[in-house]
Amino acid sequence: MKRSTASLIVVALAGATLAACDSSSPTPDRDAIDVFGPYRDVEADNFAASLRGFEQETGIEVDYTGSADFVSDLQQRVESGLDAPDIAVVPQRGLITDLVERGLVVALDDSTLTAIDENYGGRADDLTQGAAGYVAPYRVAPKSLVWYRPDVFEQHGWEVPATFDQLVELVDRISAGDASPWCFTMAAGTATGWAATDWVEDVVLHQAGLDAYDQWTAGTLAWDDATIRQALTTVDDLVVEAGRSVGGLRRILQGDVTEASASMFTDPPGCAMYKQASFAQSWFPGDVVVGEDVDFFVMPGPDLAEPSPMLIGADGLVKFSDDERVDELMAYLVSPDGGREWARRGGYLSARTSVDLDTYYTDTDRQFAELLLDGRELRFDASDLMPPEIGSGLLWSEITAWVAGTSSLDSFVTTIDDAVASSDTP
Amino acid sequence: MTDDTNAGDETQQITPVGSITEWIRATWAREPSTDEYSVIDDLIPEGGAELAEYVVRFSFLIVLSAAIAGFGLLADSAGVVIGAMLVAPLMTPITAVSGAIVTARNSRLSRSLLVVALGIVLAILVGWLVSLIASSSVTDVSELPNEVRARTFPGLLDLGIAVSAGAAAGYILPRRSTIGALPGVGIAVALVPPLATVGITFELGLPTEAWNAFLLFLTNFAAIVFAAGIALVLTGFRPSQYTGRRTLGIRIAITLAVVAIVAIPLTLHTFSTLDDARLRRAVVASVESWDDNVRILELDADATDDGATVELLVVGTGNPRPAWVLAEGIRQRFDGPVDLRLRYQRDELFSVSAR
Repeated sequence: MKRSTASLIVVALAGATLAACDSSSPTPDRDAIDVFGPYRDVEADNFAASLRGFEQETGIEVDYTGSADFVSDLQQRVESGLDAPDIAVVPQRGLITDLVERGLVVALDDSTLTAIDENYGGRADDLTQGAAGYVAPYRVAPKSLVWYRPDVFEQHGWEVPATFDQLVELVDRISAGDASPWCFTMAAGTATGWAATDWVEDVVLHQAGLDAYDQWTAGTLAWDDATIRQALTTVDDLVVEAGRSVGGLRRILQGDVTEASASMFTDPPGCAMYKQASFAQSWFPGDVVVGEDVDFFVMPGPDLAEPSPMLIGADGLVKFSDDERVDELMAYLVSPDGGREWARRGGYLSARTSVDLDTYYTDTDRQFAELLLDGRELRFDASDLMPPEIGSGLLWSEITAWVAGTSSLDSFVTTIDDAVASSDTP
Repeated sequence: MTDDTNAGDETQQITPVGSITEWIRATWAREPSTDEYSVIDDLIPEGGAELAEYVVRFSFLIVLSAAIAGFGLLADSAGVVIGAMLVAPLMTPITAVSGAIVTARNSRLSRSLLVVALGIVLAILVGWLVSLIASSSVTDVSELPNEVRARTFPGLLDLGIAVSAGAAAGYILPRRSTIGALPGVGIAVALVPPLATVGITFELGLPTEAWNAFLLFLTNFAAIVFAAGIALVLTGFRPSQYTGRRTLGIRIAITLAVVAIVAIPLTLHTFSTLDDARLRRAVVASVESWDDNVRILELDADATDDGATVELLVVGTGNPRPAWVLAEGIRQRFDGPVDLRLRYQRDELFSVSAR
C-alpha cells in the first residue's frame, strides 16, 4: 500500500528514562518533510488529515511523528544536530524561547510572516510573544473551563458561580452531599503533573487576579510569595483534600488524565465538575454530546465587573530547516487551510481572525473560538512559559510529590524558586 | 488372439484425455446401488417413534459433546476438545442435508435442517451454561483461553478444511466399507466446539467473538453441505424424479452461493491476518535495527485500514533509545500510519556470593 496521505506515527514510551540520543534510524525518507509534535492517536490523525491538502496541492510528502515524550525527544533531536525535524509543533512557549535564544531555530521567511499578519491580525503579537519572527501560531486551547452536567446542577439546585468565592462556596455545598465536587486525575506518563500545574495557574489567575499572574510569570513574584502560597493552599483545600475529588488521592495520582471525566457521566454521577481545557471534549465517553449532556462555564474571576480572564495553551510552529518546501508548508499551516480539516472534525481552535467562525468550526467549537476573540484577557499557561527543564520537567515532578504528600509546601516552593533562580543565572 | 488381448489394444488407442473423460462419464452415469441410496436415506428416520427416539439420542449426545467441548475449551485442553468432536452427532444431519438436496427429497431436507437447528440451539445453550458454571472473569478477548480464541477468528484456511472434509464426508457416507473414516471428518471440521464457543463468549459479554465463532460454524456447515453434495453427484447420486433432476443445478448453486457469502467475511479475516503478520515482521525487523541488545517479550500488533496499533514490551540491558526512532522504522517498513505503545524493562543481573 503506497501512502497517498500524510503518514503519521504516534509514540508512547513507558518505563525507564531515555538515554542520551544516538539514533539508529533506518534510512529515512529524505524527500518527505519531517514534522515532529506532541499530537498522538486521534489528534495525530486529525493533524495528518489537515496536512493532506498540502500534499495534494504540492505533491510534497509530509511525515508526522508525535511523541508522548515530545519535549525531551525534541531537545535531543535538535541538540544532537543530526536528527532535527524540519518543523516542530511546540506547546511549550518556554521551550521555543530557549531554542531561539540558543540559535537552534531558523527564522521564519517573509511568506510565513505575511501569512501570520493576514490571518491573525491584532492577535499575532499575543500569540508570538517571546519569539516573534521565529514562531507561527497554530492551535490554541482555552483552558479555564469548568465542565458540568446541567441536568445534575438543576436536580440539586446548584447554580453556575459568578465569582471565585462563589465557586468555593459551591464546592463546600457539593461536598456535603453524595457526589464529590471534582473529577480530577493527573497520571500522564513522564508528563504527570501538568494537570495539577493547570489547576494552580487557574487559581492564581482567578483568585489573585491578572496583575499577580503577570508578576508571577514574569518572575517578579516568587513561588514562595504569600499570594502563590495562598493559591497552592486553595488548590489543596478545593481539590486534593479528602472528599473533594472522586476516588480520593489514589485516583488523583493513578488515574489517567484522559479518563478523569468518566465519573461525571455515571448514574449517579461520581463528581459534579471537571476543570479541563476545551480539548477535554475528545476525552469524554463516546455518546456524550457537548451542549446537551454536558456544558461548561469559564472559571470565574475575583471581580464580577470584568470578564473572567482565560488561561490558554498555544501550540506554535518553529522550523529547523532553511528550505523553500518547508517555508511553503509553514505558510500553508498558518493559513486557514492548515487547520480546516481538523476544525471540521472538531477539537481544533485557533485565534485566526481571517476565518468565518460559522463555517470554519463545528457548533461546539465555535463557542470556544468566540471566547478567544471576544476581547477578554488571555494569558499563556505559566508552566509553558518557564524554561522547559522546569516548566515541563521539575515542576511536574515536584507538584506531583506535593499533591501525593511526599513533599511539603515549603520544600515544593523553595525547590522551584531555586531552580528558576539558577536558570536565570548566565 | 483372445478377447482380452483385443480389449487391451482398444485401451492403448485411447489418449490420456480421452481416458479421463471416459472415466468421468462412467462415474457420472454410474447408478449407485440400492444399498448406497439406503445409507443416505436412513441417516435420519422418516418419522414416528423411530424419529422421536433418534431426536432424543441426538439431543443427548449434543448436550454431552457440547459440555465436554465447553469445559475442554475453558480448560484450554485440545485433547478434550477433540474428544468432544468424536461424541458430536452433528455430522449426520448435516450430511443428510446434502443427501436430501442431491436426491431432491424436500421433506427429508426440512427434517434434517430442523435437527441441525436443534443441535445449534442446544450446543450454544450448553456452552453458555458451562461458562456460567465455570464463572470465568474474562472481560477481554486477549484473556480468553487459546482454544476458545482460536475459534473466534475464522479465515479462508477454515473454509478450505471444511470443503475438503465435506467432500470426504460425501464420498465416505454411502460406502459402508469406509465409514470408519467418518470420525476423522468430524475432527477435521469441528462442529460442536465453535457452537460451544458461541455460548461461552456470549455469556462472557463478547458478542463480536460470539458472532465470529458462529461464522466458523456456518462456514463448516455450508462448506460440508456443498462439498458433500458435489461428491455425491460425482459418485452418481441423482434425484429420482424428472422435476428434481431439473432443479439439481439450482440446488447446488444455492449451496454454492451460501458458501460464497460466508467466504466474504472469511476473506476479510484472512487479509487482516496477513496484514497483522506483515506488521509483526515489520516490528521485529525494526526492533532489531533500533537496538540489537533488546529482546521482545510481548508483541501485540493489529493492522487495520486506518493504520497499525502496536503494543510492545521489550527488555534490554541499557537505557532505551528514543521510541520515536523505532516508530518511524516500523512506519517505513509497514508503509502506513503506526500507533506504538512501547514498554521498556531494564534487565539487570545481580551476581552475589555469600559464604
